Amino acid sequence: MNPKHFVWHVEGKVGVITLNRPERKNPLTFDSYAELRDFFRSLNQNRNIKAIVLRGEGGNFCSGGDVHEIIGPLTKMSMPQLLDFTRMTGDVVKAMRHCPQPLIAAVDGVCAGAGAILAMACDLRYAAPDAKAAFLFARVGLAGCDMGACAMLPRIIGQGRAAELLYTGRSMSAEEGRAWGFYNAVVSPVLPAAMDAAQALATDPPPHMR
Amino acid sequence: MTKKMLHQEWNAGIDEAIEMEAQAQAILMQNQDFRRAYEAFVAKRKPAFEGD
Repeated sequence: MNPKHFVWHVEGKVGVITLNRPERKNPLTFDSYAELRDFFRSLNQNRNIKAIVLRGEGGNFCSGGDVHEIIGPLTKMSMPQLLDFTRMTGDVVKAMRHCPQPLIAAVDGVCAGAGAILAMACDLRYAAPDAKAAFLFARVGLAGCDMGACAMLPRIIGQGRAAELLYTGRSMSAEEGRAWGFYNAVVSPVLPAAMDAAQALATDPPPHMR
Repeated sequence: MTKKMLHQEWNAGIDEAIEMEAQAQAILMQNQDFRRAYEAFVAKRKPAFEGD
């Protein structure tokens, strides 16, 4: 397990995925999407890891698809190429749903677009008080239906709240997210709290966790 | 489109919904508004959407 496009490290039975291009607020690229998809799929075979924390480096979670490396090329693609891309991003969410370990997002700062989707696709979410999650697809000329958002977000926060966020693309504050059930807790600093939760789930898991 | 998908997916399985969204979003990426948003971002101005 030696990924090229994010950092992976293990503490006991907890694996930590760190998106680490902090100078750009940790955007995703074609390569990092593909690597995340393959990595989450491979976790099926990893019996030593019992819980995963997903985080971003440098005070931000993830700024979503890189404007220059993804959005620009997408505006020039044919329909088959676009479908390959949207199916690949959807496959990241599917792989996250199907990997056996509980996934815990530690969200701080910017959590936008596909970054908000990655947080949404985790099982538990912890936020720092400055976390700003924005399902901003409507603001970039797309619809809110990206990577399963129209199906999963309503199940987490309710249809009316999801409709507002997806129609407007506005950002959700940490406090709103906590009140709406998007976040399990708002804590500062967020990473130690997420690590504690992951360690607790990874240590002597009750039978229903296995 | 977002409203339509929210309601179509109300009763869909999640993996099925993810495929529905892959198809819908690929269609929208061919819209001129998607290109306008990108160009506006690069030029550091606000996009003016025209709905096509």
